[in-house]
Formats: sequence, structure tokens, C-alpha cells
Amino acid sequence: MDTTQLLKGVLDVAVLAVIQHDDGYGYDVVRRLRAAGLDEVGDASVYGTLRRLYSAGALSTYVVPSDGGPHRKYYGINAEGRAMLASQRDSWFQFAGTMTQLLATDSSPSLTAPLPTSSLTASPKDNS
Amino acid sequence: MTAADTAAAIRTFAADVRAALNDLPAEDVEELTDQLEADLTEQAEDSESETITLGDPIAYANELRASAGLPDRGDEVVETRRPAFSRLADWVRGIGQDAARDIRSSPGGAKVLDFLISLRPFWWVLRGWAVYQVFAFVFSLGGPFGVIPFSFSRWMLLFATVIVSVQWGRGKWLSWRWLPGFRTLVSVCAVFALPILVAVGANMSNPSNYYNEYDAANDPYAYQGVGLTLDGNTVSNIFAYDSNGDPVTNVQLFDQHGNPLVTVADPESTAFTSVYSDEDGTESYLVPSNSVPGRNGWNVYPLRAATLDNMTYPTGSVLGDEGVPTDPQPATPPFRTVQPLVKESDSNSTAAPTTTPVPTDAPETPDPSAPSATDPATDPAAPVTPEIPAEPETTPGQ
Repeated sequence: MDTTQLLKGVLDVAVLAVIQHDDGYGYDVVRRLRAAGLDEVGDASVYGTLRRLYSAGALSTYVVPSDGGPHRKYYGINAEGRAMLASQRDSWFQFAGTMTQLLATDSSPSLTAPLPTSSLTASPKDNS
Repeated sequence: MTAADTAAAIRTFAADVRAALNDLPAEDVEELTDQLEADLTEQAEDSESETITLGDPIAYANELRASAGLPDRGDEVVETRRPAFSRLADWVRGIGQDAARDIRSSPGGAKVLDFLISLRPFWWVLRGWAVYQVFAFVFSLGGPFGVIPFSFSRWMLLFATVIVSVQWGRGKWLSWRWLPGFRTLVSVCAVFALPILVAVGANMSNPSNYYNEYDAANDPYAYQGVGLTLDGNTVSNIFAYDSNGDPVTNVQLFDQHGNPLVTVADPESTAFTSVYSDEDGTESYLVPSNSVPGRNGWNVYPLRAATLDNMTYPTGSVLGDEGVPTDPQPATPPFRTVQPLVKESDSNSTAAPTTTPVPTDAPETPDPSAPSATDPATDPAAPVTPEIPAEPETTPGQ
């Protein structure tokens, strides 16, 4: 499966998660996501997501002058961002749980199990 | 050196990305890309390889744009730099995409849309035909319209327009920048022109339209609109004169097959016919005789005339209903009297004309072929007579 497609839906919550404890600048966030295992994340997608979350009011930003190189724009999570992260985390766990259950190999027996019992309870009624 | 090359490559790349975003407000571009060089430089430092792989700046810009929730590059700021045709194309495409999305939201709509999409080649040909008609109209300065070309050069023109239209439909032959927009303009014009062209084409194949009246004498279908013609001119009434040159009324005429000779196309359902005076253009009405039993009297000449003042509208008729002419008067003959015929015995050379009026015998000839014609001809000699007293009144009166 193309994980970049999957990533699109969860990039917001992933970005919020990697800066929830520690503020970060653009490429810093990209690096953290890749370090976390999201190798295929595109840097442009991350920069765009940061900008969008900032526009939505979930992030605050400040500029840090760097001694050697250029200044750096850091993003930090705020109260609204934390609320968004909490809400999206719940949604993810619920969704992931559903998907895990759906895709589990042993899910088919458990689904077919109730059927014989219902047919057993139905047949006595037919007899009486 | 490598670091400098990388920095240069990054600068170029970042500039290209900004250029690809230049349709956005400057502050959006600034916010999206003010860290771009720094980020790319850091990324280059991270990567093991010496040269950074930067990829396609436009794809990068699109990724930035999409993830930032900004609109696709389209029709806002860039408009001023693009040809008007392209703006039209964008506008039409926008409408089309919106409509397609709405239609596709229902399963039935999606099926219908897919069906219509499979008809697109037909549309391409139709568009070529429409362009051909417009060309043909312009270059022949409003010459005759033909659904199908009637000359070799016109066939060539039609082939050319259809081929270009089909190629455009296939996305070919659009290399110039303004051509896609121009194609849209042509399509829009074709959409508006087609109903007119189809209406004109349908009119062409309809025999009773005014186009054919120009050619009424040569058009085999024209008789449907004209009851009786002489050299292409409509005959509305017939005046007979006897051998003394005096007008005769209530003459019943039949053709060589014994059919009543009538001046109207459909005598059974025609109550009257309108004629216009050559002198002053006034309208009057000709009505058939009502003295023929069991049949209308359209072949009894001269037809009587009624004026507009004598129209009556039956009770219960609504606006627009046709009135019925009442109180018809004997029609004005073209000549009060004509030259009397010479007696048969007077001259042998003029014997032929005198034998011509003999057609009193003629009704007997069609007798076997059309018995129905003979009945009124022989028998209703009596019913015709009552009207004859009106005749002497006619001649002096007129």
C-alpha cells in the first residue's frame, strides 16, 4: 500500500505529536518524523502542514536568530493545538482499533460464530 | 566548491518554487518559503551524498500548496499574464469540473456522464461541422446553405475543420499557448451556433418553407404549398368567358383525369384562401361555391370573394381563431368582356379555337375513368342553374 496516501490523512496529528513536548523549526520537524519511522514524509508536505496548523491557530511561532547560519522560525504547540492533538489522537486510536480488528486474520471465525447460535435459537421456535 | 554548487542549486530551486507559487498573495509565499533555503541547506547537510537531489520545483511547490491548504494554481493572480482565451478555458473548465463533481455524486448521474463522455468523438465531428458551416457562410457571403457540402472545395473545407476539431478533442495540435483557450472559444461558439444551424438545416428539408418559394417553379415539392400554378405563379382564381366574350359564372372545371381543378392545396379542409390585390395590397378572401352537393365547390369558377369586413367569428371562438368569410360576392373579373369568338363557319383557319371550347364533350370522355366527376358534371346541371340568375347581375355590376 502507498503509505504516502495514508500519511496525508494523519500528517496533522503526526506533526502535532512530534512538537508537543519540544518546539521545532521546519526541517527539524521533518527530521523528527523521519526518525520516528515516517521515512516517506515529504519535507514540503511538512512545511505546508506547519503553515496550515499555524493558520488554524494550533501553533505559535517565534524566530530564533542563529549564530552562524540564518535565523530559524520555530513552531510551538499552544492550548488549541493540544486540544486538537487530543481529539485527533482519540480518533486515531478508535480508527486504528477498528482497522486492526477488521484486518486481523482471526476476525472471520468470530464473525461467523454468532450465526450458528442464532440459527439454533430460531429452530426451536419453528418447532414449537 | 561542492558546498557552493549546492548553495547555488538550492537558490535556483527555491526561486523556481517561489515562481511556481507566484499566483498566491506575497505574504503566503513568504510564510511558506522564507525558511526554504535554510531547510534545504540543512537537508543537504544531512544527506550522505555530496549533491542534493532537489527534484521538480513545481511538484515541490504543489506539495507545499496542497499541504498548506492553499488553492491550486489557477485563475486568480496569474490571469493577467495569460491570454484571454486561457482565462475563458479555465472558466469553462471550472464550470465543467464543478458540474461533473455534482453529477458524479449520484450513481445514476455518474452513469449518464460516462455515457456522454463516450459520445465525445461525435461532438468533435459536430464541432468541425459547425465551424465548416460558419466558414462556408462567411466565405460564400451567405450563399446557399447545405447540410452536406455541394462542391469539392466545400468538402475539403469540411474535412479540414473536422480533422482539426477531432485532433483538438484528442489534445493534439495545441502546441501554441493560446490554442487550448481558442479551442474552448470555438467550442462555446459551436454550442451556440449548432441550434441555429440545425434549425436552418431542418428548415431546408421541410418542403413548405419559404426557401423553396424562390424556386417554386422548379421545386418538385413546391406544389404542396401551391394549389395551381402557371409558370411558377400562383393561380388563385379562374375566369371563363363564353363564345360571345361575356363572363361565365359557375363553371365546373376538371383536369384530364377527371379530378376537380382547384386552386388550393387541400380543398377538403380549406374554408377560404387569402389573396392580395396587386394594386393596393388589400387582403380579400376567396371562398368555394356551396352549390355542389356532397363536395366542396373549389372547382366552380370564378370563386367568390369576401372582404375582411365580412369575416365573422363563431361564438365561443378565442383570440387567434380564424374567422369565416361570410356574404361572398362574385369576384371581379380581369376583363369585363373579351373578344368574341368567330363563328366556326366563318373561317376554316380559326376552326381550331372554336373546337377548343367544345369541351362540353370532354366531360363525357373522363366518364369511365372517373365516374364521380361525371355525376356532378351531368346531373347538377339543375343545381347550377339557380345561381345563373345571379350572373347577369354580375356583368353589369362589375
